[in-house]
Amino acid sequence: MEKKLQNAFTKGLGLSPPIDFPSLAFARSEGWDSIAHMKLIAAIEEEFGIMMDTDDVLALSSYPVAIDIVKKYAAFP
Amino acid sequence: MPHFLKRFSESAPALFDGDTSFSLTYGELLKQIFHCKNSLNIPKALVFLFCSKACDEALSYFSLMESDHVVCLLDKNMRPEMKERLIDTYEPELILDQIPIFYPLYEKLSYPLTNLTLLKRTMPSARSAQDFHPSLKLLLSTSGTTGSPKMIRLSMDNLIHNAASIIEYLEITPMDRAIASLPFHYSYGLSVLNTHLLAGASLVTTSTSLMQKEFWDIMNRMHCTSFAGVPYMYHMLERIGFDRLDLPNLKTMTQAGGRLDPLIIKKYDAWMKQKNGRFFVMYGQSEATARMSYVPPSLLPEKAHSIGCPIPGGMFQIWEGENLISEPKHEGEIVYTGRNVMLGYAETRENLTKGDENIGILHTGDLGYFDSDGLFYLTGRMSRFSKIYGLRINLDEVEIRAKEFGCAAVIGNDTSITIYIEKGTEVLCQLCAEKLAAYFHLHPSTFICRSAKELPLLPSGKIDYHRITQWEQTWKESQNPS
Repeated sequence: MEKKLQNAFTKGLGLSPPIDFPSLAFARSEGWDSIAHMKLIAAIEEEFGIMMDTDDVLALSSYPVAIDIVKKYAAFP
Repeated sequence: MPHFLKRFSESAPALFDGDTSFSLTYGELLKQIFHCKNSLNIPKALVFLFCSKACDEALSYFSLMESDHVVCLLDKNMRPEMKERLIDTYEPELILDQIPIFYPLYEKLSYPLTNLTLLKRTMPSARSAQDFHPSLKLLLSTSGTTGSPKMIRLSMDNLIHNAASIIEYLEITPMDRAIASLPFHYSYGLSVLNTHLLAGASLVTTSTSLMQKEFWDIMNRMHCTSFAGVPYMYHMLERIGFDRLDLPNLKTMTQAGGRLDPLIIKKYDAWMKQKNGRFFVMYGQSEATARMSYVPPSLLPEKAHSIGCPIPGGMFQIWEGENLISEPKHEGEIVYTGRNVMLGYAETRENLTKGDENIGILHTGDLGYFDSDGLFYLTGRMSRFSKIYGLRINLDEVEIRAKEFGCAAVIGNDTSITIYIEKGTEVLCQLCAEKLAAYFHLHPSTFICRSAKELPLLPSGKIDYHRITQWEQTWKESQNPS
């Protein structure tokens, strides 16, 4: 569910609405630095009950990319 | 004018920009420094260099170190109103910044070869070289992000001696190459830059973060041998599964900037030893330029809880009030002696005339003891601050900020800061945590704000922080019943 991913982004990056999810990108969006990245990864893993590989943790650089990565681990209609 | 950089082989590599193909040999670096110095050619002045960890900033830093000027390194990502406050306080004659604030009092000058902008103060000033103590060379901020005007005054002698000690115990040779993982305005990041360039080794800069694949690609492509990190960065490495990254050139890993979990220390020690490399745990403060002690890798994993022994040329003593402690395992304040101890603090421009107030002796404010092998251990701090993501956050300052929201008491450890607000509503507590995170430029999860019926007080009327720490303990235990 995209809602779950949005929850993880909101929590992990400490965002407050309104949020333009598709435009979120590492280092370019306010608040998405390397520290927030760790929190985001933890939030996504918790939300979906998954464990991501090294390559995916490093590759997850935007909201659209996150959708593709999470799809590999969890049912994402 | 003594040279900061020694004269190494002209063709030896010095600086690389990992993001582009730009590189400088020592010969080219000296030529560039010469060009930059021409632009900076005004009578002895105070120069603010706003930086992170870019190649241009390193080049500008060395140009200033080879000039007559006094340099102040500051965080380029500091909020504009904080930059303004510091500029108002110190009235620097020159400012170097990538995205400068345009000031009525400053005009733009041409500055070659880098993408930094040079601003010069236009106000006629009666200042002269007498405004600076002759020993003063560098100012570092005592707080990374809040723009506090309190600065650490360092001399060229401080910088050269600390770098020499570090080069000696880390055995940095011209074959070494560090990746710039920490910003230059931070004493640990600056020490990585200084030690490598003063040892004739090289440094690779990058704007990428260790949470990006590009960072590790650059480390491999540029054959980096050394990595430096503060505790939160080692937690990041844990998270990305560091041992699964293939880093064939990596020989030295160092850690400083706060206490790292001994389990993680043991893991990296074992991992580096297995690939014939070394992992160093180190302790220091900006007040001592950077470094005061290190744990020799041969003493790991046994001494994983220790801050090790003093660096070459340094000495530790444990003092309890007026008494020098001579027996092991007896707690007191750690007092460091060495040529890397700062001249003193500055809080105003006028303070830059002050001389050496410490004569090589630093009361660290850290509590600790030594064991029967002469290795030192930290047990706590005399003053109230937390070290979050390697940044020193003064809990009393947090408390002053939190008082906007009601009667507040603040406690903290090195992972989070908890604020108790008397009769705070849920909305108020959330707002308080958000405001503090924005003010201190930290991740929102750093601040936890709870409501208290009443804040506990000591008979003296002061807040009983010990009781509040117990509350927090009880609260945590109720969350994780074991």
